[in-house]
Amino acid sequence: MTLKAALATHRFGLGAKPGEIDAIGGDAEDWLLNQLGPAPAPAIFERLPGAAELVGSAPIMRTIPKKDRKTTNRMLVQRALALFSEEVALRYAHAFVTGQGFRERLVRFWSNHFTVSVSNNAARGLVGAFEREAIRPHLAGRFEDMLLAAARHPAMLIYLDNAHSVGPNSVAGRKLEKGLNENLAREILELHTLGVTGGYTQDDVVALAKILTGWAVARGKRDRTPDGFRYIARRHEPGAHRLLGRSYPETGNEGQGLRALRDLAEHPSTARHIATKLARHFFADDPPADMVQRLEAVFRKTGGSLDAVHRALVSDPAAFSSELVKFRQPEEFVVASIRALQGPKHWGAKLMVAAAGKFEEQFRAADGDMDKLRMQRQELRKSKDPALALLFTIRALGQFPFTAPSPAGWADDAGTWAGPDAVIERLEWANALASRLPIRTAPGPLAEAVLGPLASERTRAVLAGAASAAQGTALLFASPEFQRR
Amino acid sequence: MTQLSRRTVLEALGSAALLPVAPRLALAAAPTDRRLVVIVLRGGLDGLAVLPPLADPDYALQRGKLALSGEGEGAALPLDGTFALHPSLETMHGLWGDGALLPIHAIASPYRKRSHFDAQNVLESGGEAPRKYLDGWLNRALEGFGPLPSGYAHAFSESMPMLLAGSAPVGSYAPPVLPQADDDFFARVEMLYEPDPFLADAFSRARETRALAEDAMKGGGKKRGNHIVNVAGPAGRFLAQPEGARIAVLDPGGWDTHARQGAATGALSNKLHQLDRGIGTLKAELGPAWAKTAVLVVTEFGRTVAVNGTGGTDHGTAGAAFALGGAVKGGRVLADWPGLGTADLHEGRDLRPTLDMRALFKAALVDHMGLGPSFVNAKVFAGSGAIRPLSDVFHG
Repeated sequence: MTLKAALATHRFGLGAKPGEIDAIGGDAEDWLLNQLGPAPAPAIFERLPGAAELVGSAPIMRTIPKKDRKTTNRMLVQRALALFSEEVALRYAHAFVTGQGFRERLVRFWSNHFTVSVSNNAARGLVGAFEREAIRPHLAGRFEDMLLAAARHPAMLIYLDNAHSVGPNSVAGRKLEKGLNENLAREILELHTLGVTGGYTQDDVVALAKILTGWAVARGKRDRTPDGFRYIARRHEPGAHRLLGRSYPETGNEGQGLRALRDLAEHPSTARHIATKLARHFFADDPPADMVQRLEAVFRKTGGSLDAVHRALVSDPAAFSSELVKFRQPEEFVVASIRALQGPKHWGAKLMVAAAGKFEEQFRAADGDMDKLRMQRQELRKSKDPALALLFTIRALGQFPFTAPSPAGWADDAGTWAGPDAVIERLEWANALASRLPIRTAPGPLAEAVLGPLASERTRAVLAGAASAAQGTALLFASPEFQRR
Repeated sequence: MTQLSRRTVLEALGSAALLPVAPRLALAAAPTDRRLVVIVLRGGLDGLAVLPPLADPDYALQRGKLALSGEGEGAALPLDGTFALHPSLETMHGLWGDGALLPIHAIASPYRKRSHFDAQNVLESGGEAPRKYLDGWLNRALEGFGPLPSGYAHAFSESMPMLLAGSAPVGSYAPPVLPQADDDFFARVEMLYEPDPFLADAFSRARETRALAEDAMKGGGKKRGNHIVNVAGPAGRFLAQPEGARIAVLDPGGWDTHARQGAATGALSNKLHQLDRGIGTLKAELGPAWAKTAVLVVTEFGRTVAVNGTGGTDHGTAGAAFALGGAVKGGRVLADWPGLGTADLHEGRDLRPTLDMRALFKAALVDHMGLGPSFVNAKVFAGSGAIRPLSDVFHG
C-alpha cells in the first residue's frame, strides 16, 4: 500500500472503501487518469426521467379548467418532491459504491460551479436531471460545451428566472406586461465564466440578458424538444446587442446566444477563474499563484479542454504532497465515512436504492389522491426507515444536495465549514453513525484500510485505546486526517 | 510534528479519561451589560417594500404593481405620515409605538456595484471596497474590549458569517439535531486534536458553548437551518444569561426577490412575517435584558425601484435598515430622502444612498457598546474618518 495510492483516493476521490487503496497498488496516476474520458451514464440512474420528458409531460395550466388548477398544481409539487427524494437517494447510492471517486468529485465540482438549487421551488423536480444531463456527459469535453448545456437546461432557465424573461421591445414585451430579467445573465458572467473581477460591466449584464431573451422551456406534449429547451422568438429582444465590446447581430434563433456564450468561454478571464476554482477545490483555500497559472495555461492552450485541465491536476507537482490541507466539506465527510464502512454487500447503496424505490412507489400508489399521499408520507416518517434517518442527519449537517443558498453554490473554504458548532456536529454525527451500525472491522485495521500511510501515530494510538469498536470507529472519522484531504 | 510513542499517548489518555471534562470557566468579566444583535438579511432586502414612502409623489407610479397603499385591505402600517411599515411587520410596529424602533432609509454601504458576494463582503468586512479586509468589522471591534469571557460574541448560523470572522475567538451555535455524544468520547477527541491547533481550537470553543448552553437552551428549534424563527429563541436566551453572549449575529437568507415578490401579500410578505416573529421571539427571550439591547437589521443592498419583467425586483443600491430594542431611541424615521423621480435615482434605476452604513455601525460600537471612537476609526473602520457616526440613535 503506497502513500500515493492513499492520496489518490483521499485527495482526488470520495475517500477509500476498504481494499480500494490496495487494489490501486503502484499505479495511482493511472487509476486517476483512467477515470477521465467519455463514459456512459451510470446504470443506477437509468430509471430517472430526463428534463425533456418532465417538462413535456407537465400539463399546461391554461388548458386545465380553473376549478382543477389548484389540485393539479399540488400534484405537480408532490411529484417534484417525490422525484427529488429519489434523485438524492440514488445519487448517494452511487457515491457510496462507485469505484470512480475522482470522476464523481469532478461531477460534484462542476455541478457546484453551475449550481441549481431547490431554493427556487419550481426547479425542484429538475435539479437531478440537470446534473445527469448538463454536467456528467460533458466532463471530457470542452468547457464551452458544458456551459452551453448548462445554460440551455430547463433547470437552469427556471432556477435563474430566464424562462420568463421577455425583451421589452419584443412582440411579447410590447403586448404583455412582462419584461427583462437579468438574473441568469449576471450569474453567467459573475459565477460561470469571467468571474466577479473578470472585467464586465452592468451594461454587459443587460446586453447578455437581452441576448438570452427567448431562451425558455418547452411546455407540454405539443412543444416537445429533445432536451426541453425551446427558443421563443416573440420574446426575444430584437436587434444586435453589444457584449464586452463585440456586436452580436440578430439571428432569428438561439444562435446569437450560442455565439455570445462561446466567446465568454474563450475569454481569458474565464480560464483564470476556472483554474483558480479547480486549484482551490483540490489543493488549498488560497491556491498558489504558479499552480493557478499552470492550469490556466492548459485551459487556454487547449481551447478549454476539461479533459486536459483535469489531467493537469493529477500531474501537478503538488498533486501527491503528503500534507493534508483542505478541510472536508460536510457532504464529503459523510460520503467518505459511509464508504469506509462498506463491505462486499454494499449496504449503503442498497439502503438508498430501496429508499428511492419507496419514494417512487409511494407517489404512484397514491395515484393522484392527495390525502393518501399525505398519510403514506407520515407513515414513512414514523417507520424510522434507516435511509430516511440517514438523509435527515445529512440534512442536519447543512449541505444537503441541491440546496445551496445562492447561485454561487457551496463555499470552498475551511472558514465556512469549520465553525465550532459545525465541527462538534460532525463528531456527533460520526458517533451516532458508528453506534448504530454493526461494526465488522476493528478500528485499527479499518484505519489501515481506508487511510493507510495517512493515519498519524497519535490517531493510531487513540484508536487502539478506544473503549469500544463503535467509539474507535467514530474517533477514526473524527481524526484530523479524516477531516482533511 | 513529534512522533509520540503509543505508550506515551495511552498513558496520557488514561489520565485524561479520569478527569471530568468540564467547561473552562469564564475568567474575565464582561466589560458591559449592553447587548448588540446584528441581523444580516442576505440577498438584498427590498427597502421600498418594508418602508414604503407613501407620501412621495412618485412612489405609486414608479412601483407599479408592487406599490403599497395607506388604506384598504393590506394597508401599510402608519409611522410618521411620510413613511409607513409593511403590513406584515406588526411586532415591529408595536415597537414603534413603544419608541423602540428607529427605521432608517436610503442607507447603503460604500459599495456601488451589484454582486451579492462583493456587497456582503463590503457590508461585513467594513472596507471601502471588496476584499480589502479578510475579517469582519465586528470581529476587529472585539479587540477593543480587552480580555473577554469566552462566548462573548456568537454567531447563530450554520456557517461562520464574515462579520464575525477573524482572529478574535467567537462561538457559533445552531440548535442541535443529532443525539449528543458522551464526555468520554469528547475527551478522546481532545487527545486526537491536541497537535492540531485549528481543530483543537474549534472543538474547545464548541464545548464551552454547549456547556453554557445546556442550561439556557431547554429545547431549541425543531427545525435546523438559518430559519430566523428557530435561532431567535436560542439567541435571545443566550444573550439573556449573565455569563452568556453579549454580541450575536444572525444571517437568514432568501431575500433575493427577483420574481413574483408580491406586495401586501406574497413571497416577500411571508418572509417579512417570519422576520417579525423572530424579532418578537428575540425580545421575549431577552426579558429584562431587552432594555439594554440594540438590534441592527441590515442588508447588502436594496433593490431596483421599478418592477422587473417577472414581478420582482433586481439588485439595487440604497435600501432600508432598522435599529430596534430597549436601548434605541426610536419613534422617528431617520432618512435624508433623495426622492423617487427618475432624475433622483442612482443610475436611473435605484434609490440613491444618502447615509453610509458605517455611520450606523460606528454609532452602535461607540454610543451603545462603549468603545472608544479613536479605536473604532483607527482599527475597525480604518480610513473612514470622514464618516461621522449617526447621532442620537442609542440611549447610551
